[in-house]
Amino acid sequence: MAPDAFAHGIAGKDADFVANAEGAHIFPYLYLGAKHMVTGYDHLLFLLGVIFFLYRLSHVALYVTLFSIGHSLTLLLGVIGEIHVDSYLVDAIIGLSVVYKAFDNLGGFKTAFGFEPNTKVAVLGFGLAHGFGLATKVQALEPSQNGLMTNIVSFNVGVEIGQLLALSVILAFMLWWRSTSGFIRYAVATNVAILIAGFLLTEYQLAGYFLQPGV
Amino acid sequence: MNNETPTAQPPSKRSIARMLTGSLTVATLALVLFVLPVEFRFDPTGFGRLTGLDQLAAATEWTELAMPQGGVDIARFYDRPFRTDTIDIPLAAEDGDLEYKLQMRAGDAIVYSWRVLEIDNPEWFYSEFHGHTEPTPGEVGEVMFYRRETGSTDNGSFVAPFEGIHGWYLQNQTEYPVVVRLEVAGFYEVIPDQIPPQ
Repeated sequence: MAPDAFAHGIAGKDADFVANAEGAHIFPYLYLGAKHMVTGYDHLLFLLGVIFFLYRLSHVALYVTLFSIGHSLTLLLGVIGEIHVDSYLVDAIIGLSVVYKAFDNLGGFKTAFGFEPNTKVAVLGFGLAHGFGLATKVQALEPSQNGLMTNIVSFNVGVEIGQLLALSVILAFMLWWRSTSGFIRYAVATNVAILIAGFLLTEYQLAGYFLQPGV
Repeated sequence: MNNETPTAQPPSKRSIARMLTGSLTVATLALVLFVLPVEFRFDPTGFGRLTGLDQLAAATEWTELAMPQGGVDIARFYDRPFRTDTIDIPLAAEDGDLEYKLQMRAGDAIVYSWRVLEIDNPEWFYSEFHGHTEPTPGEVGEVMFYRRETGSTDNGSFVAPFEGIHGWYLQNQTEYPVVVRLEVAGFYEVIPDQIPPQ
């Protein structure tokens, strides 16, 4: 696993819990899922990028639902189907999702390529990648087969709860920020900062993939 | 359909290219200068060393040392499980003495602790820790002394230098009978009937 400082996984005593817990534990897994989402800065950066220019709540709901569907689908498939993906590569793709959305917000696709990729498809696709990342980390902890289904579903519901919590904070902030006169001026700078963070996350995970083989 | 993502002004190709390359440059600099030295112990620029950032990574670094060839044996391995015994050795008053020995092969190891259970003054007790070869009539035996001391307790570890009988000569110099409690664990055989019936 990547070092704790950057890893967006489940670490420390939470990892001990997952590794040792036998049977179904609905509320602990709910909590872990929510915690994962609220403390996962790569998810949060992506969400921030997605809703940065969404002014209508119905659009916010639509994109977040698409992201959740993708996320849930691969989390369940990955753990139950025992699909193993290198977590560094998955996390690199998650970093790229941040890059993509910041670039999109900057108007980069329209200017550079003359077209904008379908944002809904992209959000769904990156939702799938985010879910795989999570599945890989849950698998790495080797959770008990007994009660696995209940636990993974609880975890997933927790992820959605955490996402709603994080989203309401980000949304409240964005609503306030957009109402101020300086928003447009700082919007470009903020998305450049998100772009930098996305590049750094991607490079960090790629460095992990190439410098720590077999981890 | 995707026009929910307005931007301040449609940026020029040049400014997009600048933002992209600038971001990538800043991210890569941060990666090479800060992240790689701390997270992966990889410091191509020497910046991690210069700033002491590499100390964050140093805590879990291990260098494997080769086991020394010959000299002190660090690890010893045996074909049998170790045994452990607790033996109470009574000694008569006024220079009552006794030798308590273990049968050991060369290289056999023990740890031990012994103490006089009740004694007023530890200066009134004398011991010798030594070993000798199996006595054979008509031949000169060999003896080796490991420790001679005054005192009513001793703790130690020991690796037998040769096959034979290794143990303690114990002498009670008080005016009353005492009991020595010996605790020993390791690879050895107990020699029966060393303590005379009381």
